[in-house]
Amino acid sequence: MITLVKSKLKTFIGGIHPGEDGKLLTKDRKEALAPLPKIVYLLMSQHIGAPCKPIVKKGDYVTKGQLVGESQGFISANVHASISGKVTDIVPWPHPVTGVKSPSVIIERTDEDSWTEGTNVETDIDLISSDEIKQRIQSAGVVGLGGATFPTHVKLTLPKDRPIDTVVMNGAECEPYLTCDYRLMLDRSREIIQGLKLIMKCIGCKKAHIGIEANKEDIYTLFKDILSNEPDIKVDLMEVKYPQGAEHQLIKALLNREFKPTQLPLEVGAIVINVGTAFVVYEAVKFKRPLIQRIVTVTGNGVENPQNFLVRLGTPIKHLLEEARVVSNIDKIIFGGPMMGIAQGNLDTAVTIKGTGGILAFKGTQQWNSHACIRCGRCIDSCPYGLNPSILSIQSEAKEFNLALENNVMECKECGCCTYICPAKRPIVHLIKFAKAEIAKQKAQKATPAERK
Amino acid sequence: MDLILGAAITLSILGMVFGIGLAIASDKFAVKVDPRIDSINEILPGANCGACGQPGCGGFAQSVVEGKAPVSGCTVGQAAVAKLMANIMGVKFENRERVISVVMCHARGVKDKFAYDGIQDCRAAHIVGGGFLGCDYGCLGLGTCVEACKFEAMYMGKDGLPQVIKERCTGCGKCAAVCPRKIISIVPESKMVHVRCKSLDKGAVARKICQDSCIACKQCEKICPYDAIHVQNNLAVIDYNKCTSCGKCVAVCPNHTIINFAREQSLAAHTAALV
Repeated sequence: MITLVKSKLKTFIGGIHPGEDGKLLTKDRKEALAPLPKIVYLLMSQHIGAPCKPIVKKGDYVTKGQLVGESQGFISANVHASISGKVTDIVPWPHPVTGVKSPSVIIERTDEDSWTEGTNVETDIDLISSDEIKQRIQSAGVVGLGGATFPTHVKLTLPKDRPIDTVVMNGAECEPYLTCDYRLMLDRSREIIQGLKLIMKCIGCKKAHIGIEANKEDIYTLFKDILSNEPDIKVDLMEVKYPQGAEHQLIKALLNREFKPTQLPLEVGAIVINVGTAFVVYEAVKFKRPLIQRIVTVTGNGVENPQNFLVRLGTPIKHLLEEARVVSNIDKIIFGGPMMGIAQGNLDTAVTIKGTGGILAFKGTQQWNSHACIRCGRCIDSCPYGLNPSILSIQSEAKEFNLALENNVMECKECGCCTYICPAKRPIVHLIKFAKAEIAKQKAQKATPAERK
Repeated sequence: MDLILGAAITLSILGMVFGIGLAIASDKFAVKVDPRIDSINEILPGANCGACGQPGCGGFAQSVVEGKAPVSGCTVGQAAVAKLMANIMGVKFENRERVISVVMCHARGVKDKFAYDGIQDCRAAHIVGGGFLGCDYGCLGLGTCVEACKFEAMYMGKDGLPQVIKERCTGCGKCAAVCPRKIISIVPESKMVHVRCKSLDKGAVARKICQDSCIACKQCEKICPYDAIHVQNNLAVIDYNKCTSCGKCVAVCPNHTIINFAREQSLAAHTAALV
């Protein structure tokens, strides 16, 4: 479709409009405190980077907020006990997204639920130093809650030769169905702004820019009101389009700066943080509360009572689904949003992690037969990164991974626009993931003999 | 008549001139190629499988002559080719045993974790939540190894597991390389006893998932007179350097995970004879 009248709202080129109906299910559901689970499974690998090392033993008693997994190396984030109780075992447990097993501390709850010593203390943050902010963020195990779970203290450690002039806060929540960020922005707006200011202080950045999708106009007015005396923090409405909340698209829309898909926002003098991250940063710095809970949207037509739950990390999703009154004939459970989320195969092992923003239960899902590419080019139009998903999928199907590499398959962020739009119902993202995995494998094989020398 | 004669004479003179020119050029600008490369190239199987690590048979022949690759490097040609190549290169040939691939999964009746309708390739299926099979280590059965075999030595059996045609298998290792779960092992042909399981799950867990799994009971380890089988990470592993294929472990294995190919073959022959 050709839009003749240019939209006033800020946006990027490409992308798709997956529909708004999903968000209506939970938009008005204020965060509900999910009843505490009997058992939690704390994965030691809830972030990008090295898995943590469990520092508790089987049989130990831990209290809420106590450190149970110590980060290994710089790119890693601490894991804290999300409930008080007894450590019953430490076993390898599959990650709900990658399927890779990492050690998991299993805690059985006791009746007590008070914070461990040294946490949950209100501190004065008016004169706090930037090092102290970063140190508190690091010890609280804060990671990016937008889904990528990149450790926040690493993001805030900037290389000296790259000055940052703007902190971009992502309030887009472009994934259909999810409303966890919306609820957080509505109910905790002041805390979020405080968190944003702490991040700006930490990296010594004067300006900030908040991007909100046009379907959340109430948030826009709310933020405008709060920030009426702060000219340095701008709030803008953006077009409702997926993936408006991705780093590249957000920066293009708000700051009109572009950088390569392989580069970080640092290249154009910006860093991007999610509203959820800003909130936990505030909690961690002001109250020294470690990251042990987050809001999770449990929704879809497979649950009778869709909700936004405040969930302790490590809660089995079965527990949450029961709480949302899941129907018996569900076909699919998706972890995360419907566009980038991962369907779950084993409900017994799936547990919430720091990056879980939503759990979607669907019944009556359609099954498609995929066909050969009809070369209509719709995927090329929709790709927000300017790739050619059509040719990448064909090359991956033919196992010509090196050709796919020449066509920049590694630049794909797996946002799923191409698969959504494909009229031949081709599993394009799966084919691209396949090619990426095979290329990574080849690279690892080539690297090993050289390392041995 | 004159016209024909004239044309014939002109053409013969031209032919002679060009012929002499070419003869001189071929002598003067000749590229010196080691004749051994050609003769080795003739011996090689010509499948260009790349199992030697070189770009095809031509590349391997050149590497051998340049001394970069051993004469026994061709896994496909094995001893016969290596012997001929050793003759050409004038080196001593050491006999190496023929190797074949063996599928180290026996699993039958393992339930799927979820319905998978993605790309029909084991490698692609493996990256979706760690694979759809109930067992995290077992054969996914989508036939990527069969597709990878350049010698038509594999086929998908009726039980959903890949089968190796021993006679055709060259031990090139292509199937083992593409298997995302590393189920296929390249073993000496004479070895008959294999642990057909790759599960590292604890015994109790593994038993629930699959009736043919290794439960790490260590019975095999206790009975082995040659110290050739050991349980490591909940899985019995055979040291093929020590194993004599005596079959004592096969008899004690409670889950029939360890099997004896010789016995299987004779049984099959026996049933065939009865029918």
